[in-house]
Amino acid sequence: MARSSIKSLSTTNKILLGLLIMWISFSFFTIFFNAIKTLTEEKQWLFLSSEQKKEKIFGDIYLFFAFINKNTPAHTNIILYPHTEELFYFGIYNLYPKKIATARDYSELTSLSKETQYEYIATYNKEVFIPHFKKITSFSTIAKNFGILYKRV
Amino acid sequence: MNEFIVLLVIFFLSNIGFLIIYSFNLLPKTSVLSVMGYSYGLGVGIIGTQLYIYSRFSITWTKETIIIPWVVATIIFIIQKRKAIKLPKIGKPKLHIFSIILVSAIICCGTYVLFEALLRPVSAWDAWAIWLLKSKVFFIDNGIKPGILNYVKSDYPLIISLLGTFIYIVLGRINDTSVLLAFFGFYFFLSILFFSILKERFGTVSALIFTLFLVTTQTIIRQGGRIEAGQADLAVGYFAFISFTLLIKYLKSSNKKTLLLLNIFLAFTGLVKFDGIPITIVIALFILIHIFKKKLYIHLYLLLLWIIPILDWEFYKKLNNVTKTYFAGHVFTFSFVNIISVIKQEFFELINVKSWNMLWIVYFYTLLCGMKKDYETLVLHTLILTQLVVYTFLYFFTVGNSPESSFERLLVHIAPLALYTVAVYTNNLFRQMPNISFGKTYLVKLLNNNKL
Repeated sequence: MARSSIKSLSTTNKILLGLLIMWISFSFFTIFFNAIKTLTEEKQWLFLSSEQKKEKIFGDIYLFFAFINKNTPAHTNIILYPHTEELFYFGIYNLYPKKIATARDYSELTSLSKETQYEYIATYNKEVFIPHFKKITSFSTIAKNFGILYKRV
Repeated sequence: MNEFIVLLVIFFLSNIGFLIIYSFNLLPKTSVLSVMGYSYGLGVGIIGTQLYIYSRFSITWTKETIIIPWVVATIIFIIQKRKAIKLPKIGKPKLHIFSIILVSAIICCGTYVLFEALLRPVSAWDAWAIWLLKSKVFFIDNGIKPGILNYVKSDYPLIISLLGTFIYIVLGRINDTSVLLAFFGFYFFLSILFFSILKERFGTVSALIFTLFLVTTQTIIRQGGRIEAGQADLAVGYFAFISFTLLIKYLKSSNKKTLLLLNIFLAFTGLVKFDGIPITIVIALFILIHIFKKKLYIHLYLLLLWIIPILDWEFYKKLNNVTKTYFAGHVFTFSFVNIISVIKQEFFELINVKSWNMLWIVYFYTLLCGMKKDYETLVLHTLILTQLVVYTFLYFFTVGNSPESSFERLLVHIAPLALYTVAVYTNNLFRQMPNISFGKTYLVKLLNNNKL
């Protein structure tokens, strides 16, 4: 009966039926796969603090911004160097209400540093010498990434 | 505790939607489940609009100023309609074994997505660089300072960001893990609406099968709670699907109230993300065709509800010199190599079973085979293909855009519509084969009889 019903379908519909059966199989497989993943990979997240999770997701760059947050007042203006899209947006996200600007190269950094609104310069994996700014603190990670914070004097 | 409060916020937002729909009888003859599906979206849009208006009129954002008007409205509604309010009767559904398996699978998947939403803080680039960045900034500033939009370099509309801000206001602090539950809300309420709409048309088993397809699509799982939660794409998909269902209701009934609600949702679709605008234009065109065909000219002014909020946002940006715009940031270009590369990348994404299961393969199969031709499928294909063509042309002719980085996310906008199209076609197929059995389960017989 079933066989004759399938036989009566056009080839187009037979193919569609086959695709749907595959789709149902994939759907159940997805559930099974996700369940396995929860039990193996995901369980490690359960016991981490929020800070540890952020470190795990974003890596050393998160530690860099935690370092800046810890060593600067809530409302201040900071120049970040060097400029990367990630450093810029992640900087805004992590540091607000501190205002940031990023310098693409050394000459832009020098020029921005002349604007008195900027109280700090934070560099990531770079060491710089900028007139009227003094290194106040630094940090480094196991992966040998480092950050330096300079303050206007 | 924070998570519990956010769940209460989700309930509160749905309550706002529910209240508005029932108070003004905006969805007559619609099941409670469907109304629930619409309610969250309406609540999200309304609360975003409320915060935006407050900010424009310098009204301070506090829990009290935002929530109390709705609590009062709820009390008035309950007092006025206390005689008419009847709790829906929940009968004991007689589920067939196949339905039980499907329901269990859907619940399993939903639970997994909820668990994932709670597991990690926001980690997707767009989520923290655009949507939740603005949520945080608005919360700290206690308002929308126009200059800040230039600082954060984003001119995207604000509904999603203001949803995050609202959650932070209720929590009293920024919590970029709990806030992701609001994005699970889109996953949850989209599934409810999808199921209820399909159930009304094709019966429970068919609805369960396609809801399973929806909830197990990996890209939707990721945006609903896994690592990509916090982005606005699933919200666009949800609002676009709502707008489509309301358009079909309006085309069938010509009901003015349905059109009113549809236009509110069209505005929200455009104000969640610009990417929703092509969909809203196509839907508005179908509305216009219907209005002129049926000579319902009195309905025309309702389209203002769609246009005015979107224009207001554009004027607001112009007035406040918000200079960052999409086209300013993406220079036009033309290259054959780029066109071929775009087509190739899009093709490989569409056949990416890992992300989409069989969705796009089956959708294009049904489209190319031209299995069913009626007005509803014409609307669906027009919506889906217009959106695809718009994306493709942007990739063709702008620098700095490639399908590799964003096409998957953009497909989320139209995925519920594509799945619905497949459901419409497939139901046709099931009708042709009344006697097929799969082992002991008379699946197709069930599908045709709508038996539970």
